[in-house]
Amino acid sequence: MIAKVLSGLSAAFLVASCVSTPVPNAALQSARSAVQSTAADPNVPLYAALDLEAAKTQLAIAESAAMHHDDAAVAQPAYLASQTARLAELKASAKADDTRVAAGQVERAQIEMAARNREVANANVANEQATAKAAALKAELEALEAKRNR
Amino acid sequence: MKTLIWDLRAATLLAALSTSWAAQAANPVADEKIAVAKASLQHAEQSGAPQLAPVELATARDKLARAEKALADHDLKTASAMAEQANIDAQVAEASAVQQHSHAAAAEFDTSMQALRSESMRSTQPTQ
Repeated sequence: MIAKVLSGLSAAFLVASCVSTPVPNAALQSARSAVQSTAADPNVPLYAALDLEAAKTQLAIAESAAMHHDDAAVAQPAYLASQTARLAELKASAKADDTRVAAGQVERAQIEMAARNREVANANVANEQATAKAAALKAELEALEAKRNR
Repeated sequence: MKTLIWDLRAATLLAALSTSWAAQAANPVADEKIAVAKASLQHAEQSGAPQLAPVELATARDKLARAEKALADHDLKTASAMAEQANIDAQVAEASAVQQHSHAAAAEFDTSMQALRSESMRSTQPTQ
């Protein structure tokens, strides 16, 4: 009798544990992880917010299907959520690089202009030095000629 | 008798037409999804994905083929699902190619900027 009760209880525990811990869906877990990782990327809200929202929407559809134990309806939105999250990350990364290069062009132009200004200043200095040297040589020559004529 | 034969022919033709119309009417969603996937795939093929994201592009092509086969087999659910996947896979392939291109351009820009800064630093040093 006790054995029967115990076996009945253990069977009940087994059923209860099966109900409380649903079988993890690999596609859904992968989608959750992809969307979470994409949402944590600081470039995504700036450059691919709409794609992130689309990924979250697909993930919500997959979560809802899983909650209603409609396993057949989980895989498709979960896959779309994962891929849309990846799409958001790729787009955001490309736009972040493009933006950085565009901003860097301003710095490049400033450096190049400063270099040209330095070249002009150096040329002016060299010109002034050459003029002064020529004047000194001329004065020296005139002094020599004056000395010879005396 | 002749009239009866013509009536039968007309009825058969009408039945065939209505079946064909019903089949067409049941497919617009799958048709549209396949058309969208095809457009995304064509866009991806022109974006550098064949060189930079061949695996993703091949996956998209394979799924589009599966969608078209499912549509031909009147399996509309599979056709729609495969077309949706082909569409997002093609977009990922294209985005991957664009991202690699942008990343390479940015790396090249960084190298040239580093050289420019070094040159600028050298030229501002007082000459001995």
